This record gives sequence, C-alpha cells and structure tokens, in this order.
Amino acid sequence: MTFRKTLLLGVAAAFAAVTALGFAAPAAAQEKLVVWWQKGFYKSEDDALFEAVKKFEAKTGVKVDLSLYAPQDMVPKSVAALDAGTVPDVAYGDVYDFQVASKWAFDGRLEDLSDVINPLKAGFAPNTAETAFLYNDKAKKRAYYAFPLKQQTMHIQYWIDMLKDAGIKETDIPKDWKGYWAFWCGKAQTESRKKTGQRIFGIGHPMGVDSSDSFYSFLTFMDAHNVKLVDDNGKLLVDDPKVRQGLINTVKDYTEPYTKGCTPPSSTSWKDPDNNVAFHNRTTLMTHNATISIAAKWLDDMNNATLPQTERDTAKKNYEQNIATAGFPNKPDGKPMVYRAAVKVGVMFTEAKSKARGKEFIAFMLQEENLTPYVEGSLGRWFPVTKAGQARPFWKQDKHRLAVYNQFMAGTVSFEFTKNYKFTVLNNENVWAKAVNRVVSEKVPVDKAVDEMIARIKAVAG
Amino acid sequence: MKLPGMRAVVDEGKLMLVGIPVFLWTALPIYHLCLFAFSAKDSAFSGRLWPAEPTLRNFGTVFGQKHHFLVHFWLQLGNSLLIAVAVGVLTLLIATCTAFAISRLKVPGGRWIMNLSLFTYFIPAAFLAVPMYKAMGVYGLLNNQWALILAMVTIASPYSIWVLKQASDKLPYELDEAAKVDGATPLQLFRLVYLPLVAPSMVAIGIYALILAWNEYLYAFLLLSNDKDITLAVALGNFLAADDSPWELLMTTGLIYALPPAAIYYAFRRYMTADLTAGAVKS
Repeated sequence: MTFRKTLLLGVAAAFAAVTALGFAAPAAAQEKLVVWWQKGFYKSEDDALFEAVKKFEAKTGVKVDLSLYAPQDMVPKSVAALDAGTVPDVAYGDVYDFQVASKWAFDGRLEDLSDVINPLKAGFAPNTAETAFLYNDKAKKRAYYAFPLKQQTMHIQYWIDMLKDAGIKETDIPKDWKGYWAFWCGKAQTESRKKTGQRIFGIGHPMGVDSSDSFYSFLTFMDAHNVKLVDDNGKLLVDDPKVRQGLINTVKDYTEPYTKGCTPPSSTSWKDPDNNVAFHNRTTLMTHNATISIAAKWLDDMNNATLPQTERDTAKKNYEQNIATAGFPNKPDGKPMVYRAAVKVGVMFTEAKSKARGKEFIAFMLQEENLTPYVEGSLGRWFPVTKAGQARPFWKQDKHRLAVYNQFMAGTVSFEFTKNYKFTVLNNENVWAKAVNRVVSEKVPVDKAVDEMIARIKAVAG
Repeated sequence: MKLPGMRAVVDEGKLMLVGIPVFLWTALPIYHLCLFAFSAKDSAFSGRLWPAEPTLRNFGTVFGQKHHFLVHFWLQLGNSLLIAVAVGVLTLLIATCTAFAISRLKVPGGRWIMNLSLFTYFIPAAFLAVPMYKAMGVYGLLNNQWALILAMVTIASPYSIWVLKQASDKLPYELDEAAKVDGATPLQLFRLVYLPLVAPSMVAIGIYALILAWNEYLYAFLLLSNDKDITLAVALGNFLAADDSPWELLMTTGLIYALPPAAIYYAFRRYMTADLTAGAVKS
C-alpha cells in the first residue's frame, strides 16, 4: 500500500469516526425536553430553577436538558438556533421582551401559548400577561405567544448620608417635577460640593446610546409628560402636534442635567453598569435605574462570606441606612407617576420538537410554588407578575423592597412594543438617546432633534 | 564619547511620539485588569492609580470557586485547556501532512488546495458561525466539545497549511533525494527527514492554533451550552448578567485566563516571529 493510499484511508477512517460519534449521540431513549434559560445573577435564582426542574423531572419522567446563558448571549444564541432550525423547546431571556419577542410573534415564529396562559389568567396582576399578548401577522390574530415571568420598572436611588453630610434632610426633597430635578441639580449638588470639596454630581443621568438604562429613563420622562406614541392598536400618534410638543418638553427636561453640569460629562457614553459604578463610588448623589440592582449590590455584599467583616458591615449600613429607593416625583401636571413596567417573557418556538411537554413545563414553572422562589431568589431585583407573588411578606421585609412594591401597586403601563413590534427596532437603535446626544453633544436645537426622531419613528414603525 | 546628532535626536523623538501613545493604548487595559484584580471589592473604583492596600483575596475567591459565577472555574479552565490542546494537535496533524504532501510529494491538486486555503482569508470566521452551527446540528454534535474542536480546526487549518507549505518549500530537496537513494519510504521521509526540519514552524503553528482556540468566544458560546462543558472564556460572560457585576472577580479571572497564552507566547516567541512570517511572502 502506498503512502498516499494510507493517508487517504486514514482521513476516511477519521471522518467516519467523527460522523459515527455525532450520530451515536441522539441514541438515548429517554424523553427529553430542551430548555434554554438565562443564568441568574444570584445563586438562589438558579437554585430555585434547578429545584423546579428536578420536581418536573420527577413528576413527568422527562429529562430536562437545561442550559443557562448570560443575558447578552440569549438573543444571538436563539437567533442562531432559529436560523439553523435547531430551536429549544422552551426559552427564556431577560431581554426577549425588549428586543425580539414581539417581532418573532409578528413573523409567526412563536407557538400560541393561550391554552397555558388562559387558565392562569385570573392569577396574573394587571398589565402583566398583556405583554405576552402579541400579534401574529401570519395567523392575523393576537394571542399569548409568550409567557410572563417577572417584571421591572424604573426606580430612583440616592445616598441619604451624603445628603446629610451636605446639611440636607430627606424631607427637603421636593415632590413636584420641576422642583425635584432643580433640587438635585442645584441645592444638593452645590451644598455637597461645598461641604466635601469634591466634584460630586447631583444626578447620575444615563444618556449612552449603547444602554438600556438611557432609553428606559427617557421613556419614563416621556410618560411624565403624558406622551403616547401609539394607540392600543399600534397606530402611530406622532403626527399629533401635542405629541411633538410633549417630546420637545421631554428632550428639554432630559438634557437639562447635562447642560447644567449636574451629571458627569461621561454620562453621554455610559453603558448600563456606569451609573451604578458612579453611584457606588459616590460620584453622584442619585441616579435612576431600571431595577434596584444598586441597593441589591450592598445586600449581596453584606451576605458575602468571602468579604472581611468590616466590608460586610459597611455594606449592611449602606443597604439598611445609607441608600434610599424611591419613586419619581409627581408629573409636571401634578399627578402621580404611573410607571412603565417591562414584563420579562419566555417563549416556545413553532419549530419546537416537544410542544406538549414544553407547554406542560411552562405551566409547571408558572405555578406559584415554583415561580415565587425563582422570582424572590433575585432578592428584589425582579417583581412578581402574579397577584399571590406580589402579596407575599417578602416585599415588605425591608425599605427597598417596600418602595418597589409601592411603585408597582400604584399601577403600571406597558411599552410601545407590545402594541407595535417595530418599537423593538427603535429601542435597539435607541433613537431616544440618539436625539438626546444630538442636543448635548452636537448642539442641535431640541425641536430639530425631535423632528429627526419623529421621522425615524415614522420610517421604522409607520 | 560621540554625542548623537540633531537628526538622530529628532528621529528618536518622532519614534517616541508614536511609540509612547501606542504603548499606553496597549498597556492601559492590562493595567486596569491588574488594578481590579489586586483591589478590594470597594476600592476597585476608587480612582487611585494603584490600590492603597493591594490584596490577593480575589485570587483566593476565584481559585476557591467561592462565587456563584465561578463554581465550575477549574472545570471550565480545564475545558479551555483540553479544547485548545486538541485544536493545536489536530491542526498540526492536518497542516503538517497536507504541507508535506503538497510541498514534498507534489500530489496533484496541491496548487488548487493552496489557492483554496488562501481564499478562506476572504471570509471572516464570524460569517460562518451560523452555517457551522447548522452543520454541527446535522451531525448531532451541538453541545459537544467535539463541535468546537472541529470548528476551530477548520478555522485554523488553512492558515497553518499555508505557512507550513511555505516553510516546507524552503527545505533543500537534495535531502529528500538523498534519503530516497538510501531507500527511504515516503513515511520514513516524513518522519525522519521532514518532521525534524519543520519542527520550529510546527511549534509556531501549534501555538497559533492553541491560542486561537483558547481565546475563542463566538463559536464556543454558540456550540456549547452546558455550564460544565463551556470554556472559561464563555463563562466570563456570565459576569455581565446584571448591571452591577463583581468586576474585581471578572478582572481577576480574566487576568488568570490571559496568563497561559502570554507565558506560552513568550516561551516560544523566537519561533513565533521567525516562522509565522514564513508564509508572508512567496519564496
């Protein structure tokens, strides 16, 4: 046998071995359910999920092939799976609602889960399951093409001790819109700088284009100005002069902390962690954030056995005494804020192999005894979507959770993308922060920046 | 002593003007990596140029797997090592045999293979991620470390073949002829003549493939799923699960992960500079 023949045979044998290895894998006989889930920030979140999975396996005899992914990996991984036709049976990601769920539903890529959600509907709190009620353009109908799991909204966090050091009491914080922002931008910042001699900023104001904090904050400011961009059928309302004026007022308000020098200059390029970091190192007195992750960081530290006792004590003091969680001030019209809630959803793709088992798993996860430990495992970062979950004593156990509870109990509204899926594109582009940056960085007049934003909204979502 | 002339000083100054910013640009991320790794949790963002009280505690947390994101640290580091070594070995095997066959045995179609391997330079690896994912799905290899090994070998092989073929072409054919006169078979020629002569190039290529696989993120996160199967590079992504991550542990793990390739590179840098440029020009 020549060397060339030996080589060819070797290559053929190697190829055959690899192919056999590949095809041998699916030979297992046990029924399997493939579940992709986002990895929790805390061990307790993942533990609660593992526990629920274990119970499901014991109940059904089905092996759950569970894979956990980082949040930023969930969408690319899911898109790759959709393109390749190898989708999981059930998938959940924290950013599905913001970025992809309503588009997948519109394109007919999602399974109708109404038979799972409808029997549980009475148990969901108002304005939660609605986020999962999406339009399918192929089937020409709205249905529950996703399942709601937990939710978040916008909170304010501020340093109580820094205010105290500046000679200011919490009760000095105004409740009206204009007075509130003027307070942080004026008195609080000025007094704090005077007393400490440090360049402290009144507000940590996220404005980066590559940040979800910035668009969530901007849209909250927009809600404060009573701006509605779409009606309940998803039709754009941006041609209404009142909407345009509302947007102008919003952009003016949102850019003011920067133009007045009350937020760090770098905040125009902040990503999601940056307002947290600026707050933690006490560069800012307050910031707005879409979960209570800032306070929860100190809770995490105070329970972290690997940290020295002194650091844990500091963390405890920060969590229990020094940091406050609060809602926004009253709207410019004097009425109380109604917060927009982002309801986090999971999905089942139409190409899923084990649909019946997948639906069974979703229904099982949504049962109170499985869902509650999972949501509470996040230590307050996520709020329940069920009435029973919201009523639990957990939400009144400390001042931060109580503040979150009170904000949600005041009622919530949903995002535009639940009515018109193309708003996910606008959020991904972050047209809101782009308009803000046009004003603060490129010195474009506010009305021009708003007209550009409206033009883009119409081009994408019209 | 002769003082340098004005022209030499100006030339040196110009070089410094370019060199210093380039050095800072390169060194700044590494400096931050070290700064965070040696800082206590709450002093990492203090704004100091160096921590007032440097600590090795973060390394203890990482090595002791004492954080939720690090419970499989050693296993994932082992996965990275296993996959990188497998990719290095398989790439070497394929590239050496191919280069030998084309360069020394002059197999028909060799030129065609070389042109094809050059052509792969025009397609960024990221463009092939989804097709590769689909292919691995068809073979039933998804969530199997073989998927990543084979994908990385596919990506590393063309360049390796090209470099080794160019290195092989430089070897004197008289050695082959002398061996053949002495009755050497092609296999003996490969083992006793060819391999010892291309060994330095093989070191360079092996390290190139190993580091390519060690640093890979996109394919690793697409093709692997289970926490116990993924590489440490993918596991590092878990640290970004929220906007308030344990940055000091992320940076410490990153620093640890960056050390092996850096050590390997410096240990074999002589081969890397001499032999990776071997294919730069056609001889």
